[in-house]
Amino acid sequence: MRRFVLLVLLLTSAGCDHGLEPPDAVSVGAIRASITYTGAWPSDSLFDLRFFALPFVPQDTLDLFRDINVLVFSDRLAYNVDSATVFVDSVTAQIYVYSGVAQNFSERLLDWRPVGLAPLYQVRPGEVTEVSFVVDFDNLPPFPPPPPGNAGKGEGVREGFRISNVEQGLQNIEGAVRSFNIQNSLFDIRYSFPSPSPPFPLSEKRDVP
Amino acid sequence: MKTPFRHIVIIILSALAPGLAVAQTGSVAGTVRDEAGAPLPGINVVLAGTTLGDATDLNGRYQIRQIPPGAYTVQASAIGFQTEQQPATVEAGGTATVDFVLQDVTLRGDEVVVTAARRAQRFSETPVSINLVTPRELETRNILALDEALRYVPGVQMADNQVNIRGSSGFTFNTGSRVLLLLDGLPLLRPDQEGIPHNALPISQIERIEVVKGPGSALYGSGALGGVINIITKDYPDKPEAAIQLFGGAYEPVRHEVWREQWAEGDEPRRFGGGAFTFASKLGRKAGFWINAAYREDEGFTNFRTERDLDAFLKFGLRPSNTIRFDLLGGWTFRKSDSFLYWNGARDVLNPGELIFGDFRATGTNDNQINLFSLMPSFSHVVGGNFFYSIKGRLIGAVIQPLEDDGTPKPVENGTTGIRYGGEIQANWMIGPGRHVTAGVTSEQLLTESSFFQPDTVDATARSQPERAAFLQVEQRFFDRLNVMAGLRYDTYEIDTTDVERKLSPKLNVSYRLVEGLTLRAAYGQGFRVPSLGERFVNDRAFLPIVPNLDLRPEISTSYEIGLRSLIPASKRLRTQVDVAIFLNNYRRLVEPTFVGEEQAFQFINLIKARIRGLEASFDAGTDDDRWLLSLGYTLLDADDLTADEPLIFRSRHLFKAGVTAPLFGLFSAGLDFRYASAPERVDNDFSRFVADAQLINARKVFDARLVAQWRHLRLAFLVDNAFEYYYVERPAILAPPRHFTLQMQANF
Repeated sequence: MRRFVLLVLLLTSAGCDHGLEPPDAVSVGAIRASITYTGAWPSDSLFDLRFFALPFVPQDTLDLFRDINVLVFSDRLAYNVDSATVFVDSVTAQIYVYSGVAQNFSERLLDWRPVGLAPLYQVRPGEVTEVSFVVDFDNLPPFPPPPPGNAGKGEGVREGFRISNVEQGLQNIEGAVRSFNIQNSLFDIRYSFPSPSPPFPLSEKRDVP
Repeated sequence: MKTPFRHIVIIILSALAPGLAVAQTGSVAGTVRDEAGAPLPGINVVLAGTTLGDATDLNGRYQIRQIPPGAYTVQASAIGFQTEQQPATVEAGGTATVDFVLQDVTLRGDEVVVTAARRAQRFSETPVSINLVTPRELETRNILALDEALRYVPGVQMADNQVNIRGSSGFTFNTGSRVLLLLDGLPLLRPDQEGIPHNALPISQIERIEVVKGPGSALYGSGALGGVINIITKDYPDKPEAAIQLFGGAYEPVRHEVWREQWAEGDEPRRFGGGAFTFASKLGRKAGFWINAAYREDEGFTNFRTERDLDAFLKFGLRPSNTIRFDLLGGWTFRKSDSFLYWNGARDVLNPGELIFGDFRATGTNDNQINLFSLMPSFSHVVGGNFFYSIKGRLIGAVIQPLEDDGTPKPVENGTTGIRYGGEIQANWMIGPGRHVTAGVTSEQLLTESSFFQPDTVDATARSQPERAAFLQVEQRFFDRLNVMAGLRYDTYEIDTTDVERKLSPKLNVSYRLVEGLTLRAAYGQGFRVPSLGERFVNDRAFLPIVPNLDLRPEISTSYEIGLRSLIPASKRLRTQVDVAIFLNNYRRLVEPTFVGEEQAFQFINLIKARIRGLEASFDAGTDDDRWLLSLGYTLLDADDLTADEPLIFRSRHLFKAGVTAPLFGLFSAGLDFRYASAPERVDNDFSRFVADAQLINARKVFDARLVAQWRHLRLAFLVDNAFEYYYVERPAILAPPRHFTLQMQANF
């Protein structure tokens, strides 16, 4: 009997770990994107059109779907309009380095490509991040995007990106870090910013009120 | 005249020669009985130092002929009995009578097993790793379903309801099993997904469960890649027996408010309960039966996880003579359930997830109604004491229907229907002392029609996969200690009308009895598994994007093992059992579900060349009255994906099981079981691209406790499973059951 109790106590001591726990709340915010369309709308290759945002730079179409959990996308956008405003809420608060409007150019689920790109910006917890950019159907951004060696430095601007509101996009993160790595991408992307001291800790997480 | 006369003389002498030869030899004959006087069949009787010998027939008689005159030592031996020797003098033309009375020296725990060699042999002498789950263990742990029983077997890991022996399986979406389930020796994998129907088994009528580790394809064909689980059901008893079992309990609400608050019923205990009834009796002098019926209802501990099960099994036996037996086992299972497929992220584990992108919409829950039925007749005939044959048939059917929102089943065309039928003929011949030959042929047809399958033609979704096989096994004992068993099986699988897979599976097993109760063994074997119809043809985007792979080939394994087993008791009152094994399993073309970018969907692919090697050690001890029981088991797995030069996904490196049962006071006893599995060294990130936090798989550290009161034929048990409320997952994105309490009552009549 005494041995049994000792054994129970021994095993009990091993049971202090309670296993899985809910992770900290993911801070969310919202994106309001103002889109201006120029150029000739595609006539026979427009099967879907959506605003999207990714925290990493995709290397090809498949990469757009590499992690659907982190892919932000809107409802279908209206066609043949001059401009549109999109509002997407419950967006994970983080830096979005690759966002814009994507076109589904065939009936296949996978046949998507970006037709206009927004500047790099950060969604902050409980806040609405405004971003505006132009979609020029006559001058589509290169896709796949150029390799990181060709990415612009110091301005947060990459070749081929049409950024209409650089100041707005960078305002939230200007000087946040001298460089940072975006996890979960196929490769590390390094961006440099001029200010040496961040205005807020990147690890800070705030719940949406 | 001279020549004809010489011919006549030669003919006469030739005719007389055998008689002259017999006249120059003698024989030894007699009977072998046990201490109670009952004749013992199948006992090896040999003349020590010669190759002459015989085996006793059903009446315990033997006769060794053509023995040159002289003095000999006659030896009678059999597993489980003390070897006896007696002197005998053989005279030309005479018959010396030597009778034996053998003492039963059966070691505790040395039960007869049948799976490792397709014939009865002592557990201590099986040349492969094998674990037994006895009725005593089922009763002690108050087991209600097969998966609950297997959780405590060393080296076995459950992934939801998928059995994984020594890391043979990772996580396969419950499609296809690398472990073959047999019911009384006949395959019982479901025809639709070739999965194991854990709930659809007559637990109360299980005689024992044999878990053979390592490939068993040389005897059992496809599916036995990782091992074989054989459930042996009871025979009908001499006197009527009946038992009623009732149970009820509840899952405790989870500790974390974040999880509870996202499900309206998350704060409430979730109930489950049910009952079982079993009755067994003889019918006249030569027949008998048992019936087992069970019902279980479970509200589930997550949203969309309700379940109702109704099972009924009947076994009828006919024994027209001592040498002929006929059995018919039939079963039916009805199940209506919501299936929780994946969670809505690690912050919302009690609700199923949902995936929407454009027109693509998938949900992490499924509901359906399942009817499973099985019919298994068998006939066996012992001919002449040393030879018997058996003829067995099997019919297993499944009808699965999705449910409407109001719970009514949708038409069968929207679901899956499958049927598996076949039979086998097997012969066992004991040629001489310690020499056995086992041979047989099997044939099986698998036919499944499913709305989830890619259609064969535009309007046909039926898929079939005929299988045929022949097997042969030869067993020879040397020096009464060394046993060598060699086997070969040839299988053909008709993938489609133009594509037939053929596989030759050899095996070689050697066991050497060092001393009574201590056996050294070595095993080599090949295994294979033909992909299930589901793996090849499923085409679904309702729950997860999965596309078919018509080019999927069988996966193959080669296994090596060396082990040592001891059944030597520590004392007269304390039996012990120790088993240590090291093993190496090489796999080729291992089928794994993989996310294929081009398809934007999962696909089962022959992906991996893998190697799993490791060590397993187990220790069991118990007092002769079974009041104290202790079991320990540890398995070390080194599972490598040799193609990617990385650890195999979803395999734990360390498995540890411990269990203790002890008397408390008066009528009460208590028990505690602990299961540990280290977190997989590598998980599949493909799944987590669709399902949030699906990569979160932690170690398992689960305690199950019980308090039991036994008073005559009444047994009350209070069980606390996952007693320390440890949260873990058994498969990606599904929380394993949290702490739950069960009150169970069983009355035997």
